[in-house]
Amino acid sequence: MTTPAIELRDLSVVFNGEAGRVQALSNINLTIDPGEFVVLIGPSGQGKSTLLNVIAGLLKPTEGEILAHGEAVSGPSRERAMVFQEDTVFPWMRVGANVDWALKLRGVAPDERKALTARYLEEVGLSHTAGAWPRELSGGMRKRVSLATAFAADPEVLLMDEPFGPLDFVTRSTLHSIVIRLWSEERKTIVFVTHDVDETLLLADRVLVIRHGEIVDDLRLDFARPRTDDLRADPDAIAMRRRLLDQLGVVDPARAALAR
Amino acid sequence: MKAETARPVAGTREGRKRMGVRLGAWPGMVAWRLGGIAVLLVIWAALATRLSAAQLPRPELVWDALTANFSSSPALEFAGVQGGYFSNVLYTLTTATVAAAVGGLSGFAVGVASARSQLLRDLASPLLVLFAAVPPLVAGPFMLIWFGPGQLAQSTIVAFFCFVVIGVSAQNAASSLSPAFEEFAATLGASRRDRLRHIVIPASIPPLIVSVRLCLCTAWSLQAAAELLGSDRGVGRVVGMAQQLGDTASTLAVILLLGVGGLVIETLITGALTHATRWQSGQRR
Amino acid sequence: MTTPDLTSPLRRRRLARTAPSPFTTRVRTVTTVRSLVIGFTTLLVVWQLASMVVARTFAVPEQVLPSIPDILGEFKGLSDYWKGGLGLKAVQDGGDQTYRGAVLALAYGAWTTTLRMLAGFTLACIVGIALGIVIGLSARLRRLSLGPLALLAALPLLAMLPLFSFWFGATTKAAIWFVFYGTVVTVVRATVNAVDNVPRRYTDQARTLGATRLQLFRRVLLPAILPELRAGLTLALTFAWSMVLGAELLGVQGGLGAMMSQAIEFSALGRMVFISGVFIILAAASVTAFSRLTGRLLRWMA
Repeated sequence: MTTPAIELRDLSVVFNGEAGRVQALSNINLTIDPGEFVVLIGPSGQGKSTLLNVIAGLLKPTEGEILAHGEAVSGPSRERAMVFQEDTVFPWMRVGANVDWALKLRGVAPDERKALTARYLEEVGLSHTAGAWPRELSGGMRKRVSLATAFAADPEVLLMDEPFGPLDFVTRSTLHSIVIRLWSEERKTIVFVTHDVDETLLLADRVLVIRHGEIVDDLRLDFARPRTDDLRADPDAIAMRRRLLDQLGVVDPARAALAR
Repeated sequence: MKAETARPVAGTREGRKRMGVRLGAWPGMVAWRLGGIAVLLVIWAALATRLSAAQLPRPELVWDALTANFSSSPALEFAGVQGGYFSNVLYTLTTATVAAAVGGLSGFAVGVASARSQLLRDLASPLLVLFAAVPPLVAGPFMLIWFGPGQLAQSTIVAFFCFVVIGVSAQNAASSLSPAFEEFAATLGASRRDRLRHIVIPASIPPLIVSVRLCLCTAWSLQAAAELLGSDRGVGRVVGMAQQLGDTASTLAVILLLGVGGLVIETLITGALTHATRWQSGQRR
Repeated sequence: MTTPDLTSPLRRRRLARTAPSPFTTRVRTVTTVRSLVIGFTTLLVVWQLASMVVARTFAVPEQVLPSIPDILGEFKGLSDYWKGGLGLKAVQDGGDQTYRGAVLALAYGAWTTTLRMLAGFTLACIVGIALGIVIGLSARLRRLSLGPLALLAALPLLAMLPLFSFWFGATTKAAIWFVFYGTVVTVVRATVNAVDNVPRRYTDQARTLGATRLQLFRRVLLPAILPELRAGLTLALTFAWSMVLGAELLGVQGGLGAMMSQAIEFSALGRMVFISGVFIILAAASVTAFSRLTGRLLRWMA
């Protein structure tokens, strides 16, 4: 048996906010295997991002343990790079320098960095922008820079927190295919947070539904890859889509009308 | 008031849809600036014809005073002040700039550090909270007592002012930086030191440019005012002497010379800073 | 049960303080009442300790760093600056040093300084904003004003006091014009920039609604420039305090600055602490009052 990429044991997070004690996560037990593409889905503000932050080591749990490849997590590390919803491309570094910095932090020798930077930028289709300032790129392009930077860090686990939330449909599709390609080439473990059911169906091996700070459902998706937009017509996928929408509390207006 | 005059001017850069006008490339800019100063001179000359030379001398009298005393001045020599207007202006400018640099850099260090350490922030709060709203000039008299009227007191007054102004801005800039940048960097494996150097410091500089400009202009002003209170050279000394004799032409000459020299230094420093932070939006590549 | 939404950066930062011990990345510092208490207590303790060292090393320690009790004891001495009146004889005319005299002297000085500052500042605001709008709305004037405004801002304002004393004598009039001159350039520049930064879509939108020029000016332009103007005027306000203090320190009679300049002559540090304390309170209060006042005008922003 291989060591799990991520293991959470009896994990709880409590915030002492202005509104009093808030239980953000309660009693989470979870094992994620290496190479898995796991999607955390749930209504907004019910613990997905908190869980991801805990795995990243950005937030210390109130109770419980986090193990990454068998070792206790005590803070953020390059082994668990994260792509944020916010734009985190460093605007004061040129595009190439953003990727280069990740390589430098990883300890890659200076003479190898140039070629590697070029490679990662090419993977996301941005070779021509290495010398540009981030502000000169569109939001979608900057997100691709974030992806290239995160992959350049060469983490064992890649964490993605609603990374494509504010982007338009076409840009998202491009980014989805880039993520899938990089994931299959580099065999990373990916934990991806979203509240978008279609995105989930397109990306996930495994779906964890999170509601009220608990994992309420753990599903496997074994639709064949590469998955395309045609998945929308697949009966199994439709059933899964409905199940997830129910979990998210989305009520189909047509069905609601029938029920009445 | 015609609001319509704010129509878009030909060549308005795309994307900068504001009321404002495009200021043009630099040869044009220089021409407009010189033109503006010419207008100022005309207004001055017109005013001067209605006032006595002691109240407001005509521009050419000021020019005469400047050229006559530029490199050496009998009047200054008589009072035991070395050199002419130029060397005294240069003294004031360089002393003030050095003091401003020392004060500003330490203010930046304390400001950024206090945005990252609560203890430092608590300790710096009497300075950075109080003097964010109160003119730091009020500390000047204390410097005069502690250091005696002289170069040390002058420089300390200037440095203290710049320390506070830059400290407050740097603290604000470093505190308002989105935490996502640092968190992203941390997950890429950046240590606390890496993040300070590659994220917090570069991100804190652009909001400071306005403060730097303010600091420099005020630095000459404070330095010269402190010199008025007792100094053996510098602009303040020259102004104090000239005005005792009712020589307004000399006063204006040396003050204008300081203004122009200051403007040159200010343009060089802020130009260098603007170039270093050209990654910001709004600046052209 | 609702869990906090961590996606908004602002919310996240606020939570960061209350989260169960975050790792080092999320450390964000804030200035709280506690900070001020810690900061000022430390300052007082350091001052007191330093004064104890000074007391052993200097011949006239109270002129270098008086201890805190010594400073408090010097309060009565401020009555030296009371010029007589209100049934209290001036000390120079043979009156006694009294607490009442000290309070009266401080209050009168504060009153004089504040009036001078307010007169100059108000005048600068009226003239500066009007001029700034005229310049800001015209492309030509805006370009033409760049050079003169930059030059005027670069002049060593404080060192020009001898000129004002020469023109107006060492009087209140000189102080007011000095404050006016020292702040008006800042006000003009702030107004011009504020007008320049009004998004075109505001005026366009208003025009599609059929606004007249006057309406455009009153209902669109003025409210739109206020937020940015507010910052500029706050800066000008602290300049105004600087100018009035400078004027009084450098020769204009009366006011807190003149009291300060007498205290400097005798190295009376204790008195200086009280005078600058009053000045600091006045300046800080005026900035707070200004921000409250303009805040009411800007309620739509919140």
